[in-house]
Amino acid sequence: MRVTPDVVPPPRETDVAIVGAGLSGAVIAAELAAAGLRVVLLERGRHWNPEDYRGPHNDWEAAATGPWHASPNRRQLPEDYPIDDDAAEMKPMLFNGVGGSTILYGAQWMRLLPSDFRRRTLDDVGDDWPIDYTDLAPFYDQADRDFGTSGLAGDPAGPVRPEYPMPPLPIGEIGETVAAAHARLGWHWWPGSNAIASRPWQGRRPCVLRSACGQGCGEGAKGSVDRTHLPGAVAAGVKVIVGARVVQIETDKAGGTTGVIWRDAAGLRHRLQAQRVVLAANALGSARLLLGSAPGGLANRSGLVGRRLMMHPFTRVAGMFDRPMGTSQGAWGQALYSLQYAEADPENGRPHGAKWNLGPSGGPLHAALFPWPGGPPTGARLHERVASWLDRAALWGITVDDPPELENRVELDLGTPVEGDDLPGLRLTYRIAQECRDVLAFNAERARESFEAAGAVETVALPLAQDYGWHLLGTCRMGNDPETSVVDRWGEAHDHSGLFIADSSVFVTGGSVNPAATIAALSLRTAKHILTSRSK
Amino acid sequence: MTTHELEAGASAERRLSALSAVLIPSGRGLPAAPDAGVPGPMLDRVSALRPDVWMILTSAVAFRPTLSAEAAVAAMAQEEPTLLRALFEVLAAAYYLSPTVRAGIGYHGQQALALPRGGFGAEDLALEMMTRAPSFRVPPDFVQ
Repeated sequence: MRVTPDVVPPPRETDVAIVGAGLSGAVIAAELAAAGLRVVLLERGRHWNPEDYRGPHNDWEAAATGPWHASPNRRQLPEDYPIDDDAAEMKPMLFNGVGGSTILYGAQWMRLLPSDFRRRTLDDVGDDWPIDYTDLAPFYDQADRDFGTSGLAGDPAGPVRPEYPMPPLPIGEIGETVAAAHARLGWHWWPGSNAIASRPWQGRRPCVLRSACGQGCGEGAKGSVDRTHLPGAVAAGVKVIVGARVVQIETDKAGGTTGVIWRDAAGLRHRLQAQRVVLAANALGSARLLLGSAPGGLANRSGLVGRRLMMHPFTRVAGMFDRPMGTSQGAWGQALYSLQYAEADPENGRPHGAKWNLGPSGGPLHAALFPWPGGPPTGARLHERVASWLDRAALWGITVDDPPELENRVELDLGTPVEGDDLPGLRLTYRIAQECRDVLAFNAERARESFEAAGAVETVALPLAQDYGWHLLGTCRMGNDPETSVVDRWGEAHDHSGLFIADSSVFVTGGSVNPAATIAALSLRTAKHILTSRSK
Repeated sequence: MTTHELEAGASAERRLSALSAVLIPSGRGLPAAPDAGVPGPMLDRVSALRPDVWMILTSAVAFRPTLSAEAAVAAMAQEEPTLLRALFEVLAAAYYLSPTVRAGIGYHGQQALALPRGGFGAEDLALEMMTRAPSFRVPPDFVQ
């Protein structure tokens, strides 16, 4: 794929300027370019060579503590703007670069439940979305195909859906053991659905179960958009400019969107005129750009830009077995998942749902750095922990639906300038409601019981794994009322025609499942709307 | 900067070595950190990956230098737990790069495995699950 770090001269005018070459930006760029629109994709990060990914190398775990850490604050690459997360009880994870966070994601591919779109109606929680599951279903179907997903249809915990393009990845001995335990317990389980190829698929090789998805998939099995969408988009004419920091969205007096101002890697400012601007920089980056584009924030009549941040409180439960279970390797996505407690059940003390995913446990450094109660396993304890973990431990990851709260928010950190950028860093405020903590604790105890039923000889349940703030949602919610939402049901800003947001910012509520599939579906829907409205 | 370039030179290296031996002693047939190249070439590899390593090491070496390494680690756990976690992280990262250690624990890195040609496993249990009644809630306006 050809990207253009030094477009000479850089384009000055286009039909659509997209900010961010991650999941949503790539999806929408591919759709619009295929329909003949001129698209410029501006990406602040770089284009990584898959040969740089660390999975096949013996420093893969060490690299994940630094340059390949999913936290921008730990990574500290030049393209990472600082995020003050001292007041955030979950720490954000994201990746700036061509492919965005799909370079590092686990590719767990889940659909929201119908009830997730109607939390106000059903539970008096949050708000209803202006769209519903049925509106998104055809776009979910397309996203499944475009990303090359693997899984099994027929899960009774969700609506009827078409078969996945590929069969599930093997769930392994640990998956079979836990599935049998759940069958005995009468609990839900289902083979994992992942945007990971389980057989050769459209030029992608099948997964080799290396468990290094978190440091980039060098095999090309994982459906990261640098492989699934951008090559085709570039072939269709999309110009991808890397090292491009968009610093302002421009509008005219009539409220229309006219383009963006961006800085190149040398710090030079450029104006790109565009009939439409699409923000696809995730729920932090898009809010940052809107807040920095005008006094009081652009498209902020509602005062909600940056507000209602949701991050999915997360925890992990480890189960250690007395024999090797092959758990050092496997799809880092999910071998299987459980939606046993995915639906809210307020009458039984669970006002919010939770989703579980079963995954492998990695190598010895994963054992050493697991947040063991009592602190790091120093001294002789280290060797005991590694011995009991390596190839014998499995992990349940648990995400909880957190209702949107006004005070959970993203703000510009005006005291933190960013070199080579006109916008400052960010400050996050994110508090986890006690009821969410209770739901997390309930699910962690059940997950412990799951492992015990499967024969684990030891289990460790964390109260919270706060470093895993992968799911950044809700800072520019969609809605029908311009006074209480930032964008409409199509993702277009109420206040500025031609300004769209295609990323996870627009989520009204978060559900409990991984958001990637929904982000893709929403982006496809927004793309279709742009194309339809253009032709009218 | 590598571990060999710590400001205080040889004495800093000795201190770092002592601290690493407390945090990662020998046991279960495995060498203590200093005998596995920590500090040394393994830690240098981590330092090459992470430019922040030297600052962590410098801070750790400078922490309560008059205490024994054992007492300093104990004090660090109480007074500077963030520093202790950071120190442990880089030392452990270096330790598990050691070929001797990896051989000792039977870890050979992440291998490329061929996917089984059969099914995903537990097909019979999945079929049982399919016979369950739908468990998702249906909003009033939901149309399948």
